[in-house]
Amino acid sequence: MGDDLRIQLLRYRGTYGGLTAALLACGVATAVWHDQEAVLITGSLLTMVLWCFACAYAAYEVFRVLHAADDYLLLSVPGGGRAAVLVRGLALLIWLAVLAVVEVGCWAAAWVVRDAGPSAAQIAYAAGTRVVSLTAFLALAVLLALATKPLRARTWALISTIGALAVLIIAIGALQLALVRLQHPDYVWTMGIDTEYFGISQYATALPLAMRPRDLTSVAQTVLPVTAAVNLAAIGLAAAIWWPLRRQRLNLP
Amino acid sequence: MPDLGLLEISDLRVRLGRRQVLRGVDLTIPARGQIVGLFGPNGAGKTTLMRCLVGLLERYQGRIDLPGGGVSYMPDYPYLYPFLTIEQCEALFRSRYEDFSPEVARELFDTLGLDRSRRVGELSKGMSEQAHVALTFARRVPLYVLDEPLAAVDPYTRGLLVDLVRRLRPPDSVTIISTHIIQEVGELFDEVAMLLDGQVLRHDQVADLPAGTELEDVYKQEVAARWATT
Repeated sequence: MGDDLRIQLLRYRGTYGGLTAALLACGVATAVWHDQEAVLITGSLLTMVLWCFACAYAAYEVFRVLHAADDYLLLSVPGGGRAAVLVRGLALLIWLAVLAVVEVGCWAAAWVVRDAGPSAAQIAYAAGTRVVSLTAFLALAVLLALATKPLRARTWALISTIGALAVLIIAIGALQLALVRLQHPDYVWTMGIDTEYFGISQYATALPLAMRPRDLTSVAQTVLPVTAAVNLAAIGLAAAIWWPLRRQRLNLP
Repeated sequence: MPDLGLLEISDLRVRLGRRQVLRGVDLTIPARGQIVGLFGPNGAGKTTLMRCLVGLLERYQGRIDLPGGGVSYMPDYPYLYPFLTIEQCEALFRSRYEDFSPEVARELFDTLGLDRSRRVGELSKGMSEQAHVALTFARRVPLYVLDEPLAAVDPYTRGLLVDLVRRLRPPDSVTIISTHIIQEVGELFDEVAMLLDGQVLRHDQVADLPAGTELEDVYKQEVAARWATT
C-alpha cells in the first residue's frame, strides 16, 4: 500500500503542485497588499476557483478508477478495485490537505502582517478542521463512485454521482449552518470568502461557509467545533454505507 | 475442490450491457508448464474471458477454478505509468507481490538489454512491451494471462519475447496468450483454444494435430463449418 500510495502522489504532483503554487501566490499577494481592495477581491476569487478545480478534479479522478477502469497499475493493487479507489482517494486527500495547510498558513501570515495573529493552536485547529472537511468530501466521492457502479452507462453514472454529491454537500452545509445559528444567533454567514473579515471559512465538506460575528471588530474563533463534528459524522456515515456496499460484484471492463 | 494445478472453466457466461459476450465457455487446462494460445477474431470474447480469470470481471455465471496461487496478468494496453523508471516499477511489484522474484526480474532485464534507470515513457513501443512481459513473468505464479502481448511489436522483438516466454514459464504453470497473429507464433503454443461468438470452437493439443497443419487453416475450417450450420 505504501508504494502504491507514493506512486499515486507522484502521479498528481504536477497538477496539485501547480495548484499549491498558485494558492500560495494568491495568499502572499493578499497578505502583502491587504489594504488594496482589488488585490483582496482578485486573490479571493482566484482562491475559490482554485479550490473548485482542486475538489472537482479529485472527485472526478476517484470516479474514474472504477468507471473508466483503464488504469491497470492501480486496479491490480492487492484488494482489487475497492482498494484501488481507496488508494487514489487517500492520495488526493493528501494533496488537498497540502492545499489546506498552505491556505491556512497564508491566513495566519495575513494576520501577522496586521500585527495581530492567531495562536499556533488556532492555526493547527483551523488546518485540522479543514482537513477533516476535505476527508468528508472525498469519503462521499469514493462512496458514490462505488454506489453508482451498477449503472451501465458511464455518462449516467457521472451525472448521478455529481448530482448526489451536490445534494449531500448542500445538505451538510445547511445542517452546519443551522447548528451554528442555533448556538450563535448573532453570527452572519456568506458563501465563499468574506473579504470584510479575515476569519477562515468553515468547510462543509468542500463548501466554504464563512460564518462570523456581526461585529467586525471582534476576533473570534470562526472555525467552530460543531462544523468539524458534522464533517466527522459525514465520514462515519460514508464508512458505514461503504462496508456492506463493497460486497457487490464489480465489473471493471 | 479443484486439483492444485488445474484451471477449470465451466459454462462461463458473461453479459456486458445488452450483449451476451461469453455463452457457456468450457475449458480445462492442467498446469504442467504449457502455453495455451487463445485465438479468435475481434469480439470473440478473448479479453472478457481473460478478465474473468484475473478477477476484473466478477459478474458472471458459471464457474472458474484457478490453480492454487496467484495470477499474473498483462492487459492489452501499456499500463505502467510513463514517469516511473523500470526500477521503480520493479520495486512496486516487489512490495506488492510475495511471489515476485527480483532474481528473475534482473535476469530478464539483462537478457532484454533494458536499462532499469530509464523511464517507461522513454522506451520504444517494443521495449515497453518487453518491460511489461518481463515484470509479468518475474512473478512466479501458476497462471499467466497475457492479452495480445505480441500485436504491437516488430518481428524481431516478437521472436525475442516468444523465446523468453518459452524459457521462463515455470513447469507447474499455465500461460494463456491471446493473439490474432497465429500464423507467426503458432510454434509457441502447446495447446490452442479457438474462440468464436463467446464459445470455444475447439481446444487442441498442438502435438495431436496432423503434421504440417496450419493452425490458421484449422480455425478457418471451423468457422466455415459453424456458419454452415447456423
